[in-house]
Amino acid sequence: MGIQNITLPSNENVEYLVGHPSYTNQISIINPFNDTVIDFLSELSHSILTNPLSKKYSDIITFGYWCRSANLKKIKLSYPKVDNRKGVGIVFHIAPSNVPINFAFSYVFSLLSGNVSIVRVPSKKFDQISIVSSIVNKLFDNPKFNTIKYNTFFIRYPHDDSITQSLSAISNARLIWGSDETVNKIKSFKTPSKCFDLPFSERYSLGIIGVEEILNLNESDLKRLATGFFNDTYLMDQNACSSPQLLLWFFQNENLIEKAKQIFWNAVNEKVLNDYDLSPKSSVDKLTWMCLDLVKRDDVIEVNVLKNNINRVQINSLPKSILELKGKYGYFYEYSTCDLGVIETLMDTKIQTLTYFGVEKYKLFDIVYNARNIGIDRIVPIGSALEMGIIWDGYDMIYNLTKIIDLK
Amino acid sequence: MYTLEDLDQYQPYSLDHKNKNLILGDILFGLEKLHNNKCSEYHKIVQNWMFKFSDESNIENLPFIPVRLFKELELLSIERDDIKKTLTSSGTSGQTPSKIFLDATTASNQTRVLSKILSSFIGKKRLPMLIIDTKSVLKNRNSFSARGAGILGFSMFGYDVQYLLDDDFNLDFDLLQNFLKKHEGEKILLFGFTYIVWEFFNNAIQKYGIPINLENGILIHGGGWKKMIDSAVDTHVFRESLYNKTKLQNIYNYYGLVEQTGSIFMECEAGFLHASNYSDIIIRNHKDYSVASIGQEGLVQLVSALPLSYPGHSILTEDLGTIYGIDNCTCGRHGKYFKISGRIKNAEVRGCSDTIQK
Repeated sequence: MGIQNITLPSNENVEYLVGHPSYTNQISIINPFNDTVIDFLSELSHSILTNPLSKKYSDIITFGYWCRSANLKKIKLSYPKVDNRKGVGIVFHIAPSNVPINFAFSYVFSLLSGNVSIVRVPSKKFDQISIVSSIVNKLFDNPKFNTIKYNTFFIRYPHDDSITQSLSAISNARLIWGSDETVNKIKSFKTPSKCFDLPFSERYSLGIIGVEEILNLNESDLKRLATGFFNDTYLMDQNACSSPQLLLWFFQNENLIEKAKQIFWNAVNEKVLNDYDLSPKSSVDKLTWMCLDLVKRDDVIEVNVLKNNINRVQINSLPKSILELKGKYGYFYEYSTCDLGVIETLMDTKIQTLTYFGVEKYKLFDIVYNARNIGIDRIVPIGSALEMGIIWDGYDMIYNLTKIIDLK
Repeated sequence: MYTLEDLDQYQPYSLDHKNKNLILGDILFGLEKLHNNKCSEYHKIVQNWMFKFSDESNIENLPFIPVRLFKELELLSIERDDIKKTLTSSGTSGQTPSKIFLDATTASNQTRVLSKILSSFIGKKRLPMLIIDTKSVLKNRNSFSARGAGILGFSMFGYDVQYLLDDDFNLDFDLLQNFLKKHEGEKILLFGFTYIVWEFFNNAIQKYGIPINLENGILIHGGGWKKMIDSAVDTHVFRESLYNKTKLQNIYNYYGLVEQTGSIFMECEAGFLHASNYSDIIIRNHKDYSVASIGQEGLVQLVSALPLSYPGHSILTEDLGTIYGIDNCTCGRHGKYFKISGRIKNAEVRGCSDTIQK
């Protein structure tokens, strides 16, 4: 009972980590939050969290934790009216090449929506991919998961446009993760007329910290904040779309800014010293950017370096586009303001996440919501920047990846 | 206050650590002041320099600017009208080349110092010379690539200078044979870039089936081993192969930056690169830019007494190296001796801003 006559590529260049091209005549489009799916994901969660190989990878553990049934049930509650919905069909996922676990989240969003998933995993052979794939394969040995088994394809192939083109030609939807260049290239490939894309292209993120609130922190809360900030940034070389590049310091009393910065950065540095391995190349890159900023920018008041781990550039005015304020490996721009209204002037379609600490979140929401422009999709506390969610880049995955059967 | 002329009083490798710090240090701090006054970009970078570990006027406390700045910025400490020559680095394809602006004084200092350093290895007499390269690298007389500048700089030490490769990099075997016949029994100077010498001379010479004897030859080569790492050629393989094929045994590698042309680092008979009186090397820990101890690998910073027209007197390179000692190399030369272990690698960067998978 195939949904349409489709063929998946089967040649020596395409490696099926999960699934087989012969399954295509048994695929089926199902309802969102299907009981078998929930059952499967909670077993997946259990297998991941008890697998000794997973323990080495915090990203696998995070994924496993996300899939546990308590979390899925909580998510399901926020979709009270989906009983007239079902999946849109065959979803082709192009996972980002440098984030090992992202493919798994992309898959689960599409699975929860009731779709068939063809997931192109990164061509780089990350351990995380093989660990998750083998756990999934093991669960598929159980015939009660056959529906899911026939709907799941994890494939790996080297750079080859013709394969991506042939998969695009059979897609009902595509989730395209990657640089602007990658996304645009894949968008140029022909798809069936009704196919739609959810592009997850390059984004920019920033953070905001309340000066006075930093001064009120006790030691353990400060440590927790520093760890959260570390996870938002250094964990991904500050190169994830949701890692902040610019930090706004929101103050009431100007005289307290320096003290707050000192406390915050010293706490971050302690974490970085223990848990980040700065490469010689990153160190020289950051010094080079710093010299270039000193020469080329007239808004730089001061630069600071803490053991080469943290490079900070203080600016006294915000450029027309903050997208040019971009660093990696722990290179931050800082701007102080007593007016939350500046956030509105910063907004741009490219801006994804605003992480906050010590600032009233509803105030931030009001500013972003009422601003008559596009941009800023997420407002989350510091420490949660990289937490994947079923709502991402402003898209609700469930609503976007299901269709409604309209009954009157 | 000391000047370059003071250094010229000495043999190029004669100063011991203490005296070198005194004289070269004084010259370098003079240059520091000069560029700080004359180059506004440089001033902006160093005015609040953060990586000073004490207040002493020690060479190690000079600011060091990353070498890539010469690609990103046009740095000069002279009026544009006074530019006599512009050197450009070859760079990897697709990259912006470095641009180095020379005035007449800097250019002539480079030549003088190079000759002084080389005399310690090949003597003071000019020698008949073969260049293992094509003549076409020298097409533009006002703008030189690093290769062109190197060839031009080194050809001052030869006479009857001939180019061994044609425009398509084929070895001109007849020219070689005739040249050797003409200068039979004489010392011969050969010069070329490491990779070109390997690929188009060493790898080509056997196919003519006629033995070539270069036992009177002295080869000077430089430019780095980067292109040859894949084929696992290091200085030993290089030397051995050339010796087996041509009996060439006087082979000297040199190391240096196009940003510090002239004050090169020559490899001695014991296999170490040496800092002459005119330059020095400092190894830094990449984690905080503190100075590494002898024997410890780190980022290479190079200082040179020569750059007057551009702020290139103290540069942090993208090379890794190790200093093995000071003033006590078995070859007898004073100064720091060291080895270069390679280029810093492009780290595998995490994050979602990927590029197209290739």
